[in-house]
Amino acid sequence: MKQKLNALKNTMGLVLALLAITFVVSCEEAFEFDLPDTGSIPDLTLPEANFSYTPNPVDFKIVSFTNESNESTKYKWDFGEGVVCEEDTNGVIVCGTENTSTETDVAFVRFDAGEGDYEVTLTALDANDASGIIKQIVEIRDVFVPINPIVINGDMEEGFNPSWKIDDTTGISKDTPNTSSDGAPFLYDGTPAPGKTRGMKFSASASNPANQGSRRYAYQALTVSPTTADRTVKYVIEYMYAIKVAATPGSNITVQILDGHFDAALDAIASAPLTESVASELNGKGNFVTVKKEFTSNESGLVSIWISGETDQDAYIDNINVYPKP
Amino acid sequence: MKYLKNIKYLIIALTGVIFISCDVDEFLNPLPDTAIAADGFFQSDADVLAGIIGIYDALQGVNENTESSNSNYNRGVQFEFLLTEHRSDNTRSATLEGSRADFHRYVTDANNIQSEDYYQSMYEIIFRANNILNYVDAADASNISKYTAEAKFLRAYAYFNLVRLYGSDNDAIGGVPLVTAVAESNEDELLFTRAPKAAVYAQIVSDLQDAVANLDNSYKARASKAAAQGILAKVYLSQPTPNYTGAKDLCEAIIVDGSFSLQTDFNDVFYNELNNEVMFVIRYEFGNPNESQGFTAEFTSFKRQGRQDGLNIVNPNLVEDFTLNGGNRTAVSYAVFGDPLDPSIEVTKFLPEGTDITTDPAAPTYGANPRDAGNDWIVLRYADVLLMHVEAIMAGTGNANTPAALSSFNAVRNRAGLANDADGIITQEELLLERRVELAFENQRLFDLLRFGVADAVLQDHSARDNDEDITVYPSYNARALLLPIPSREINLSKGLLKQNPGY
Repeated sequence: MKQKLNALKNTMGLVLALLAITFVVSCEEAFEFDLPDTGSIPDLTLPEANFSYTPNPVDFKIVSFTNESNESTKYKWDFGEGVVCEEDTNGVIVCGTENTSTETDVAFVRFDAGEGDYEVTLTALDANDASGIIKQIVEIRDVFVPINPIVINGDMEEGFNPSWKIDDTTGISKDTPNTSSDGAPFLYDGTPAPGKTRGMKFSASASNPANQGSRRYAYQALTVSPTTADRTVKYVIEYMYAIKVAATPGSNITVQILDGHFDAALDAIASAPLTESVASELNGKGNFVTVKKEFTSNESGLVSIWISGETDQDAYIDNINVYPKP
Repeated sequence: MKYLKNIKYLIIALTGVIFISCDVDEFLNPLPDTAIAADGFFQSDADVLAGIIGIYDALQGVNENTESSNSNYNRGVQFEFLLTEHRSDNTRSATLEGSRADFHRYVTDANNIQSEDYYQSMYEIIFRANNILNYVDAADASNISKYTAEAKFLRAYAYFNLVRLYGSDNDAIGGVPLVTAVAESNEDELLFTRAPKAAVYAQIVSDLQDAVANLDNSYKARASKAAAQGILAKVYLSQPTPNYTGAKDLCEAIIVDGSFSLQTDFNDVFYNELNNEVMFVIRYEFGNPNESQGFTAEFTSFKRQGRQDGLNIVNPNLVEDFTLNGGNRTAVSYAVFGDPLDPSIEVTKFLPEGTDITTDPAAPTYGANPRDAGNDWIVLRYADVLLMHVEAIMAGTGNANTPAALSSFNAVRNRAGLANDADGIITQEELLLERRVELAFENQRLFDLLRFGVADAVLQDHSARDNDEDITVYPSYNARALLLPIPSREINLSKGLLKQNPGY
């Protein structure tokens, strides 16, 4: 019995010794060819980085970046020097100190230096940290297109109520100026018409400053692009007029661009206009002359046309147009 | 001798064998049971016509009420409203559960079963069209060009839907796989390479031009010349480089032809089937499980009538647009049901037969068999063509004021009980708004937004709104959601060839 135990003891010793040897040897070499990803296949669909960008419609210096990368989960944007990313247009900065971001999309990136070409880099990484990279030139351009306002019934072919009427006529005639068949022999686009077109007429009774309560005015509100700190926006008002030769010298049609929209005629008259054009050549009925007058838009972009006459003979105006200065 | 005696019988018997067996070739080489029988099937004009009708069958789709399994049954056009209206700002799902509720929240993933089905259905149409083009010569000589044109029309329509929903502008990723002949299963390069968007559009244009040249206006439920002209006009407006002149000419050809007109009563457009306004419809038959549809009950009913309810719920910002610009279209397009304090706004275009929504607005009823509805689905109607005419004249400039444009625009407005355009100048915003209320719930809105180039801006704004009642914001929206993911099943089958859209 003791013999047996001894034998067992020897065997166990041998086994233990062998095991110990095996352990010493094994850790490094025995499992060398048995790593955890045995049997896995290489990742052949690697990240491809790509992005697009859209300028902010209000502020051209702000750009929204949309990530269009494939096969990726992590991102690193590098916008370069002098560029700031904001949480919103509120000025709270969300980019890292080196103008980098790990967001998927970055919605408000401000290129304060203004117009120019900027290199933006996007690195897209997948879970294995395989990466794809793209560098794109981002073009910052101020492609400001001024609003081209539409003057309703500017060719004077239709009746003037409501197109040329101010709401509250307290203090002046409740009527708009007369429609007339003696308008300019030109179409609205400036091409010659076969004959006379319809126009607007200021008759003597509607154009006498001594009788303010009977004076007739034409009014129309317009919206133009505002002048801002970034830019000055200039417009042109253009019209054609004719005054009978027999009129007293100094007779005129006055066209004003008012600073704002008005409900009441008295407020419109009292306001300081952005510009005023006094047309006073007495060339005779039917002999229309074109006048162009430039003005700078105000901060609100809300302006209005205000027309009056001061004449003892019929005066005519036609084809009123407002457009951005070319 | 005894054997010789019988030899004459033997000879007779042998002769018989020889006579019977003279077609040795077929006898020794029988057609296996698993062989493709198509080669033998199309023998006559009637066979080819059956094949053509089979393409429409793929477009029509299988009613969910007939086969409820979500896999392996092509729904055809029946899920389209989920992929289009739900992803626009028009409608949403009432619930957040299930894959049908993913679209309106912009969380559709590559495993979405409805998107996968639609993708598969459109390629089923393409496969059937490609297949019949191989056998069209078996038809009567006088019909060959017509049948060919019909198959090409349907193929083009399927590609047009696919490229708009799945096709990327980025040529490194590509539009959609462009297969124009029956492909063998080992032609992986052909089946899974996404052709550039411009190439897909070129194929669509060529197919539709063929349809315009060879079809007449005999049908509304099958391809016609006018339908091909109208859809080609939309293709011209949608393609990467729009062809405005071409679109204008096509719309004017339809208008001058005079075969179509606006219905006086807007309600008749939807409930007087095959009326003069509709130009191409997908027909369904009420009560017939194999020829009916189950989707309009899903998106019209206030109390569950379809397999799933609470779909195509009208968004508040669409109601605002209807209130200001709907005219008499509003009452036809949607209705408010249920508790006045917690109302439910439901679509009322395409109500199933037997519906009564007027007797008790708190509890409308939907007839005996709403899940087997027979309402035809309108793909193209004349009002759409009139508004495309305005769009073509506008030609990307942002406004239109020609007499022709105003005539088309005002015809649509006047029918709705609205006055002419106030200032005589139609702006892009006005046109988009008019299309929105005129064609609401007809799966046009998303494509309109994309075509006008305002989809991202409008949906950005829509998904950020938090003041609309019972709509929360959709923070998952981003510009990548404008494209659906290529279904992952296709990616897996492609052995790495098919590229996924960004963000999925």
